[in-house]
Amino acid sequence: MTKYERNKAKELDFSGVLVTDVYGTEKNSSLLLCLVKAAIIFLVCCGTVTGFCDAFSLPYNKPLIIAVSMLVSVIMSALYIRKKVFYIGYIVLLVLFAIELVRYYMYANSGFQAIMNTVREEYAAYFKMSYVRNAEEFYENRYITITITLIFIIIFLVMLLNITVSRYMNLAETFFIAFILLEIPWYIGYKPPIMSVIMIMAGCICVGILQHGAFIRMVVPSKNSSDYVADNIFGKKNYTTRGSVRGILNVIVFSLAAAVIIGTASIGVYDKPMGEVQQNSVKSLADDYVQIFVRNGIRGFFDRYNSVNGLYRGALGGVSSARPDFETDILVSFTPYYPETVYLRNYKGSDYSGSNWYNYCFVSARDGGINEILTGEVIDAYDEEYMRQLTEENPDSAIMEVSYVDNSFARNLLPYYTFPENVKSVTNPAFFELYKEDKSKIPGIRLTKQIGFTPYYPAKYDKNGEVEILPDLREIGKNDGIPFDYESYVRLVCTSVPAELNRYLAEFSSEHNYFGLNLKENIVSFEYDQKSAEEVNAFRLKAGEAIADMFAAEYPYTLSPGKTPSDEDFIRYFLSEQKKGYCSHFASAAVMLLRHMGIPARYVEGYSVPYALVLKSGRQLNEQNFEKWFSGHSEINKDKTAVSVAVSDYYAHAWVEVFLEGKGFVPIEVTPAGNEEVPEGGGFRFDDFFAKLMSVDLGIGNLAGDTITFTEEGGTVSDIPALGSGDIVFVPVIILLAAAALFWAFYLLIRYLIYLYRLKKLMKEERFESLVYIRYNELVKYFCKKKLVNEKNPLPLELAELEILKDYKEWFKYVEKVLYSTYKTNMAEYLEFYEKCREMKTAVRNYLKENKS
Amino acid sequence: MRIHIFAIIKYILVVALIVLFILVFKQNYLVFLLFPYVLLLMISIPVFLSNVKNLSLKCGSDEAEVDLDSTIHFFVEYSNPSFFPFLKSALSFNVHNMFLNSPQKKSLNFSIRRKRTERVYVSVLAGRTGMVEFETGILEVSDYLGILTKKLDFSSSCRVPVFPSGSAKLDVPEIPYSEGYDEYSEPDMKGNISSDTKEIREYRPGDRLTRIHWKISSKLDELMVKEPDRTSVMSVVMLPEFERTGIFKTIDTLDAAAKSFMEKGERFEICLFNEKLCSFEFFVINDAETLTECYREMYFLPLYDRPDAAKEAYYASAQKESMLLSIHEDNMKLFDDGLEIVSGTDNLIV
Repeated sequence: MTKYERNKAKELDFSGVLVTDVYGTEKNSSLLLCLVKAAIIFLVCCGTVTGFCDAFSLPYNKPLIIAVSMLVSVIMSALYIRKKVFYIGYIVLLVLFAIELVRYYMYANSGFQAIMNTVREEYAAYFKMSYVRNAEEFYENRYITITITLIFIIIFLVMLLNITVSRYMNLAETFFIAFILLEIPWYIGYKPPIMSVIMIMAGCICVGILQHGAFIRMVVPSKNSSDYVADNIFGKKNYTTRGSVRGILNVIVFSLAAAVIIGTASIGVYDKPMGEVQQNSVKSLADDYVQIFVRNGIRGFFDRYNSVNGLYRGALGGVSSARPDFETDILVSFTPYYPETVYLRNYKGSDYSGSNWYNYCFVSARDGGINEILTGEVIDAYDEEYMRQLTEENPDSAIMEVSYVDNSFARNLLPYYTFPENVKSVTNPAFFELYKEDKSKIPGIRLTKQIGFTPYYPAKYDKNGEVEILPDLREIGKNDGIPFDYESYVRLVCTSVPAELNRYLAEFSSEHNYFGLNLKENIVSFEYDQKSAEEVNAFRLKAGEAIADMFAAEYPYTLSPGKTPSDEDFIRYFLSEQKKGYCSHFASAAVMLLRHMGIPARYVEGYSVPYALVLKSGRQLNEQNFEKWFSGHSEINKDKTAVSVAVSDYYAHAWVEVFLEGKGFVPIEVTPAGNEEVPEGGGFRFDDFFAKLMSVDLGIGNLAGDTITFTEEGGTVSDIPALGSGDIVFVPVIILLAAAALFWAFYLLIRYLIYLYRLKKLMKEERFESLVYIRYNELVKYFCKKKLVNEKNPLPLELAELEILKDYKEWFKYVEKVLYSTYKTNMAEYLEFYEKCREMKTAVRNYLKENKS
Repeated sequence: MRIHIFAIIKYILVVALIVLFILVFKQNYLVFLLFPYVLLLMISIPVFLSNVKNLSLKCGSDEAEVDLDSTIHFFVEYSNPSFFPFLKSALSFNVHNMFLNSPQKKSLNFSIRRKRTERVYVSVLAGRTGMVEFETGILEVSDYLGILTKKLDFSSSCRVPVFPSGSAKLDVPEIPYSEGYDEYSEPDMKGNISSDTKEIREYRPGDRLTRIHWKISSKLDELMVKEPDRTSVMSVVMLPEFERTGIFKTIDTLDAAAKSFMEKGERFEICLFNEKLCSFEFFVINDAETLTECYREMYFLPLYDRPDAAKEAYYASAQKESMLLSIHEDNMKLFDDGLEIVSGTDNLIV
């Protein structure tokens, strides 16, 4: 006996009758039902496709497209006539679709690219982007290729709409399919013809009415299906019509009339130009993402590598947006000595190629021999030696403690100017007491380094002549066996620009002459020995200021600038196309512009600790021995206070170092101030949350992918624990799991409360028969769970035959009497029965326990 | 009237979303979406409130009575005289055999078209003998936005009796004829003596003096005697037990027995016991029509749990001077004055 037959037999046992068919006055043909649904699909599909094409003025054969829409809609919806036709037909159609797509692939692909190119061009014009991707079209005749492509798009669209209309009659899904396509032209102010809009609206109104009406139940009928379909919902059998042909036709006519009336009434508003869209933060954000999408496709949203605020040892352009997590990365304890930003340097980029900064470089040997590599360690040693000479006479000294909280790659942050012998690890940092109780902010310290340094003090350098020029720059590295000296590094490496970029920068500089970017030609030669050091340094600083001014005026700061296309140079693309970015963009471009002007400069990454942050969130250390922290001249901090500052990854930064004669590499700031709000830190951000989920390292490879950068320790990038891997990834996963568990618990609780409410209501209404029914069902479920019975709906007397329940036979008779007769039970009986139910459960439990043991 | 808060919230959210899109993105085409939504609210509730009261509904059946395993076509006829249709309506109904009390409620979802009277048919296979009852209850009608739901009480019912198909045959026990009150019995005349007169004939020796029709005799100058008809109180009374679990078998046995009796030309009574009222009702079965009439009454009787409640009550109160054929499930027992004469008939031939 099949399940269906068993259910029927059961229903017959229950009620003595069996509902075999439910039907209306008019018998509806399944084919006609399919055809009227085809009309709805046609309205939506045809409106969407023609609306989209007409909005972009694409060349295509409109009558053919309309005819194809109609034909495909009819064929597709006719699949729902019978179950067999549905299953076989869909497979056949899919196979045919695939075969034809392969056959006409070149045409279809060419047409698709033609559509995409048109859309990209229109979007580029709207966003004033001079560069967008442009795919190759195999055939020039767009009229034919686009028409062929549209046929395939229609088939695909009708397949989707057939599901949302013929299968589910769901307004939201139907509207979404139509809306997504039409939103493409609408977003940039291109309007589809009103006729297309009316067609879509009519289709959607129709689907809305039919869905909301709940008098139409979408099924694929079998041969002997009733007009009305039965569903069991919460123990109640619902019969809903499969639809009436005349009724649906009425709804279509009404929907068309309504759409025409509404369309005509609002045509004035529709035709009105959209006008200037006032920019608001939501719109800006949407625009940003749309631009990313137009430029880089969908990958642009996800193409990120593990980095701190988008900085990753000179790897540029790998991210479409920098998304700091605003969690504390480091704790910096020091004495503020200067009312400006304190820079903690981590990475120096000397050589630029292939959109990456390298801390080592290939150089020609002094004797003009083969290329040699000048490693980062050598460059650091040269820097140290030079700065040692420079600061020899400087009486100022200070201590800084840098504690690494996050598992960041940056483990070697050093303030200006530090010498290796003054860096040591400490086990009991000074701030320890301050954050002892604040576990949420500082979950744990991984490492603390105490750094003795000679404070970099720009104000002091501004006083001309106070620092003597040290000419022995040329002597550094002369006799250490390395075929390259510091002077060559500064004069050659730190002024080198890739040839192609140099040509572009020449063009760029002449275009931006009004910012003084052609200072080189007008003022001085870069050969410093022909001018006084002050003049050369003033020129270099002035050039830096000019670049910063230009950026501030024309290049807005954003954390979501979009990814640089792989075939584009990062700096050229930033300056010419992107025209917005974050610190990496500005610092890289500024270094190249300075170098183009003949000024030695390099790219530096690390953390910045703005003075405002010190004032805002610095915690005073309980340190009495101020002299330990700072000695020497200080313009601020008269009360001699040492503070500890929590620095998040939002303050990860890239800046420029300019070489000043007699002063070495000094930091200059070219990044314009951003208008992004800086949160207090630790705030929950959905995008970051999902970003973390997306960045689960499956061990397939590094997302940075195209760059292998040597670390200062000599390892490779993959050796370094990166943000987004390890335990951080599990936090969102655990949160998701916990949320799912909570949701489930909440669902169960609500279900239980509803159940209690129902029982209470039944008690109040004295419907004890229903209560008996509920309790009996509970009992049966329990028995099923314990595998005492196999059937879900056994008759009470069948249960009574179980050996274990033989003592309760009378009560099963009672259930039979209550459920299957007009017998009216009362509260006392019900309560007693309920008590017996509990007894039965206990008995079963004990029995099973005994049997188990 | 029920107000759906979630529908209102959903409505407000959708409108707010559209307005937000229009304002934030300046996508003025979205007024297309806003228009129908706002318009719908203005139409939906007033139309609903003014027209819902005009709805009418009734139920009925195409068949007056059916045999077992036949299909009954019940229908719900609804009428909407107003200009506006109602898209969402749900009628609760139940269909069951009155001997069984099916707890499962059913619902019929349909649209009510404007200015129309329409029917929805519910075909029901009658799998048990008894009275099949089709009950309609509350009709819930909602407005176009689903904000309001009105409950209209259209409680009514339609009953169709289902008779046994008569395919079962039974060898009934031979009934010994009762002598009744007469001095003698005639073998060809079955049943007890009635007070009704069958014919008037000449006096024969042995006739009782009380039977002499003095009036006619005086007119004819010849002794004429009233020949009495047989009584309606037959020699045998069938008493079916309306015990709950075996009711359908009992009816089948009763039907088979009754038909066998009729085939044999036996005249008998069926006694129906109403346990609740503790009363008996007797039906003299002369033909199929009287049997049908008896069944109609029988289908309304309450069921009880004890298998011999009717017999006990019968002997305690309504005892007749006739033999009793007690029927329970497929067993028949013949009693005479409370003593069992013939017992057990498992010889049902189907």
